[in-house]
Amino acid sequence: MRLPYFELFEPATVPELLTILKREQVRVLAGGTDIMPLMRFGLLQPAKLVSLRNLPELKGVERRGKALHIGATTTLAEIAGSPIIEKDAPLLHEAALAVAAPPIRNVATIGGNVFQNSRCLFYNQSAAWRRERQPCLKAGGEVCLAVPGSRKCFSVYQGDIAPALIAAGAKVRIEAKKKGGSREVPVEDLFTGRGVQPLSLRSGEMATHFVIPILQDTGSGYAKFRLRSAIDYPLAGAAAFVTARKGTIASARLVLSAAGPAPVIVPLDGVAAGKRSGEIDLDAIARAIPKNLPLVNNHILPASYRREMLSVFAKRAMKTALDRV
Amino acid sequence: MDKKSKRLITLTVNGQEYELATYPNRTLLEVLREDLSLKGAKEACEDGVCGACTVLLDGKPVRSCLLLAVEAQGGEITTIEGLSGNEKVHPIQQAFLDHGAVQCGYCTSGMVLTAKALLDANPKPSEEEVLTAISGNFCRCTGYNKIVKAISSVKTDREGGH
Repeated sequence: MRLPYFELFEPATVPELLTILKREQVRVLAGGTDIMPLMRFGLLQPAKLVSLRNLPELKGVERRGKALHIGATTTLAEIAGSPIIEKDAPLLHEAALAVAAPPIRNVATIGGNVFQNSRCLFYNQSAAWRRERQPCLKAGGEVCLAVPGSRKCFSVYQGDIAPALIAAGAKVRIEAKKKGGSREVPVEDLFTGRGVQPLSLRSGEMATHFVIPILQDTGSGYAKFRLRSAIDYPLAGAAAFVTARKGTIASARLVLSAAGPAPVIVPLDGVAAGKRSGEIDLDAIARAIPKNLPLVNNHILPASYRREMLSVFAKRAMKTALDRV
Repeated sequence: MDKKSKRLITLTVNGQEYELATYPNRTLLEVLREDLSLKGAKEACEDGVCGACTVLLDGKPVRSCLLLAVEAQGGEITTIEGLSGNEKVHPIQQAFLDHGAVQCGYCTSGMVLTAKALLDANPKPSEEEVLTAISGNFCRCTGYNKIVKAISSVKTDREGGH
């Protein structure tokens, strides 16, 4: 199916971009690998798009002091191939390699991956499929097709990059053309927890960079469950990040993907910190995963199975992180 | 609605520079197939999954169905039609022929171009590296073994560039 016509803005500077974002009702186009299929399905019908391709200041990896600054339009192939990232942010390196297939990673960007929409078998369907049914909550309707009678959307956030960034304690730089619009917030603050509108960036705002602290004595691992290892979004994903001091674990973070409408930070109080890495009970890590995750039968595998796999892959990710510290 | 306006873009396709006027909502695949009559890149899933629309943009394989033509502005594009240059077939194509690595043929142009990018970057890939490189190209005849063998054979057959 052909894409409907839209007007395209191509700013050459970031201030110009911010002016366009303030004035116009536009959607941002980065690599396009998430938004183009949504536009083809008619799930997004933007009248105006703004391209980021002429903005080199949004692209690239740079070490500044004790942090890595990564431009939002840096491609996932550039991230996976960056020696600096492999050395100083190995969790991001691993997660980038887990996204889709190499040709997608050649154009898909880190910002686009973080800002991808949440997904559901009853939403990500062609216009012809949806025409036979009422529009669901996420499509602007009044019903949930996955859970009849529900007033809540159960679409699932299936990004690989955001859990890795959150586990590594990354922040996102946000710019906007208004007073106090520019700020840096933890990546987890981007998520609303609502399936209908999973991301919190307001109109006029632009995420320009991700900032990852470079820490010493760390270990990390990303584990991803999917049916087709070449291409699929995660059906369960887990990013684990630990720091050690004198042989004991000083801090541990575990962040899940495909566990709800936002990445889920698993509370690990009393489970990991203060222990030696060999003494940590991986089953206790799995038990720390919240019991009430909003998983329903709206993906290719049943909710009960995905719940089980979140435990399995969380343990794998944490074991890898502990082995590497 | 306001007037729909075209953009003027420059693309170098198979070594030939083109100036093209196109609407912003057209994909690179549409422009290659419809404006330049290069039908080697195929339209299949339209969703970025299958890889049948693969072309090389600045030497790297990309999904031409997910890329707006205007976003490829200034890029160097290689399609299957331009791969062999003045030769009849390119060594990678010859390897596919020799190994019977073509069944229905729908995935073949994407497979060959992906192999080209791989071999340019890594002339002696391991089997695993071949599998990873073509992991985004689906063959629904499931003829992967012969494709992998064909790509792996190019490194040994090759004498000075491919």
